[in-house]
Amino acid sequence: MNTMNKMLLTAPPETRRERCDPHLVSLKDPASFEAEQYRRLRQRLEDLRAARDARLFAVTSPVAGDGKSLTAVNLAASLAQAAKSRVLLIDADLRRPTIAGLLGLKGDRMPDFGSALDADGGSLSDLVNPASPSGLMVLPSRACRGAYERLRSPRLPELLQEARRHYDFVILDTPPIVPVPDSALLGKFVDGYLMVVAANRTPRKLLGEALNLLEPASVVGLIFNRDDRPLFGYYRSRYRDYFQSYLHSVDRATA
Amino acid sequence: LAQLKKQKADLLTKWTASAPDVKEIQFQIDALERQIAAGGGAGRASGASPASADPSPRKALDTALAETNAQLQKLQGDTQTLRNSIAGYERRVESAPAAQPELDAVNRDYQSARDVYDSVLKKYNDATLAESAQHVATEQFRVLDQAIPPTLPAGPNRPRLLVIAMILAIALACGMAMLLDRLDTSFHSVDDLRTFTRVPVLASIPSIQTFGDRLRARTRTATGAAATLVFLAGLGVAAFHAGRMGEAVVRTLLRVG
Repeated sequence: MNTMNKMLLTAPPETRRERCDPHLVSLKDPASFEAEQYRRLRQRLEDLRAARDARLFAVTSPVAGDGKSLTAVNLAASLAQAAKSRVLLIDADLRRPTIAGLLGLKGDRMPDFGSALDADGGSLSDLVNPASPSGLMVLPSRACRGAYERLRSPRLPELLQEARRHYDFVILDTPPIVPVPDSALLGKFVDGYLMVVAANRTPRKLLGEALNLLEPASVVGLIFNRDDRPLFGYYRSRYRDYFQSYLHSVDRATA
Repeated sequence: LAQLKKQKADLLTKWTASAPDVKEIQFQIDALERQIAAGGGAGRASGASPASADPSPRKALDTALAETNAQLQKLQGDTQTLRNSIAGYERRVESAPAAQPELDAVNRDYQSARDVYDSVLKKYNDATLAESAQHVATEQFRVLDQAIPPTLPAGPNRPRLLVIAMILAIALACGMAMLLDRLDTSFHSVDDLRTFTRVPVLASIPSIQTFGDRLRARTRTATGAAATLVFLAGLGVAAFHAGRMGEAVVRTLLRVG
């Protein structure tokens, strides 16, 4: 399994970029405006880590389809861009795992977080090679039955403790919080929830319901996703000019 | 007496003990026995010759016997006639299924004849009614006021209709917009989210539009626009045809006038 992991995660960035989803801007186009917004999110998490050593974050949302997985991958990739930063991305959505598909990971020998939760699943270092030169490690999942019971396994806190020891940040992609109880189960072991809210999509009532289902203190903050009215609003064109001229100057500087 | 007893035995083989013939014969036997007992007693008491008393009871017995025989024969004859009639009835019962189709055919004929009769009767009644109505009409109606044919072609007030349609369309559009706004409880901007909850908003991520997304969106818009155009064209053609039909109707009416 180790060799497979090395192959997947230490592959040259170019080949990985070709296989992964084009929406993963933090991997494909780190200089884009969207990637800058993920960088802003990363900055908030880095502040939290500096303030109270918060390392484990679960990305969730009230309902399915709000963009949890995409946010989780982009955020993890953004965090991994920092020098010497070691980030682990875990697909804890055992019902509909999507991380492997987004990153273009394939193969039967792909590590599986779900089976790692079984009694004989082995330790985290067996699944993910901590010595990989790439900053971002991925522990994907395969869909399985009895997801809730698997997540209740005593191995879950063990694995997460190990991850906390070895990594600067651990991002968990979790199922939506209102329809299924899986995400709330993780509350005891993570340092905070990041709640993804999709613009023009997530109903008010369900966001309220989701916030009620979680401890108020455990919700670190909201991520407003797919915002088609950015903060710059009507100054967008002026901002774009500034942004592009900034990019060009960088290009010129590097060239 | 012996003869009577034999006869009783005979009858008993044919009938039960309660049958009236048997009872009668039993009664006669009892009477004879009593007579014989009385005669014996008298003879012994008087000492007179029993032969002189004998002839009368014997004759009476003979006549009774003859009567009984005659009755028996008559009853046997009755039995025979009854058997014959039973046989006759049974034959008729057996022949009933054969007669059934014949009966059905007769019934059908009767029914159709009945229908024809009913319809003719109804026609006759209608005709009588119409005749009487005609009489009444010719007698009761006359022209009071001559109709004046219009000098100008009549038609709806088009500008007014247009204005009404426009107002209705605007009202409908506003209603739809308000309804959709009511049904949509999602967040449209970060400020929306900030007023809803005190949980901090860490970041606002713009929607990530890849080349494929843009292509899909454009295709969808183009398809929608094309469908709308086709629908409007169809509506126009339908309206044109309806208008033409109305014009034809007006022309026909004018020609008749």
